[in-house]
Amino acid sequence: MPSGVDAAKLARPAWADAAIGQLLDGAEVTVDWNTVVLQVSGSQDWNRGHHDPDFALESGHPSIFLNTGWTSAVLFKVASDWIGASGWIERFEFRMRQMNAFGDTVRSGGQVRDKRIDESGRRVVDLDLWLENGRVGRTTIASAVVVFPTPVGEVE
Amino acid sequence: MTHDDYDIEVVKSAWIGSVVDRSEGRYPVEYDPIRRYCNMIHDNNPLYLDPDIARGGPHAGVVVPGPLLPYFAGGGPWPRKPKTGARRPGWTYGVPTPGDRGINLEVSWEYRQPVRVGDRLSSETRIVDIFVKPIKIDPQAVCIVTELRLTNQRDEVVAACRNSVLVHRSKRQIAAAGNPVA
Repeated sequence: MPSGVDAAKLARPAWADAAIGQLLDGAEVTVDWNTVVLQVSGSQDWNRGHHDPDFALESGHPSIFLNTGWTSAVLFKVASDWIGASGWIERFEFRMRQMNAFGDTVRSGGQVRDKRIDESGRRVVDLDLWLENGRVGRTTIASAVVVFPTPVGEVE
Repeated sequence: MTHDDYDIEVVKSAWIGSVVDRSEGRYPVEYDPIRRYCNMIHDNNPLYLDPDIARGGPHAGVVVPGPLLPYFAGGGPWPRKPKTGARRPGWTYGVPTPGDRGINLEVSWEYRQPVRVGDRLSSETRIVDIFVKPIKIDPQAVCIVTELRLTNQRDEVVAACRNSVLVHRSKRQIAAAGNPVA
């Protein structure tokens, strides 16, 4: 049965092909009620601040805002889309400085910050990742460390 | 709790180092929560969604996207599991705070090995730091830093996470304490 996904689109980048400064593909979404519902479904986070406007206002926030589960998933996807079937995301960190709120158009992005051989001899790429919206600019800054496999025949 | 009877040093000495939560996943890792997660962000990655393609991939099967791992180490939001052992409620894990509203600030993950459909996950959470962090809407907000360790059915650590959550007061709680914020 067709699964609805396309294996041909699965990237297989090599460590050797990564270039410092290279931009990674991100995505854009406008936060509407559909986004909010998918957020609760996908994260199973029922905290009312993420879907109940009155509760958010009473808590001192100007609006409902997207939760940590959604935020981390969108950021992680930038890195996992890039590595495809290559590499392993070993570290992933993010700092939520501003909120992505109802009505915002949120964009994700990423860039190769460094490419190196680590102290264990592994092939590693460091990524910068981010979320931004048109209202406040960068809302979430993140980073990831991706470890690539050693090519067959080479020794770490 | 009012400003006058809240002593952050007492709270720190009583709670830092405490294991505040131990949890076992209600079910093994399953396909459908992974599908719902992918639906949330429109992620068509076949390594998360298609067992046939994933079987030929780098992990020989469907794996859990990193941010979703904690879901499979818990009971989910419903039905509520009885609170036993070390488990404590809510944002604060029982740490006394002036407020009861929470916001996650920083999260740092280390992923050590793939988690596949059928695996069983457990978690342990420990308090590692507590401090007052004033914010615009509440000068008495408190930051609680935890470390979470996830293990599989073979007691192998599959991932670890350090999380900082900010617990603040609602407008009503601030007004009741007599120190409204501009």
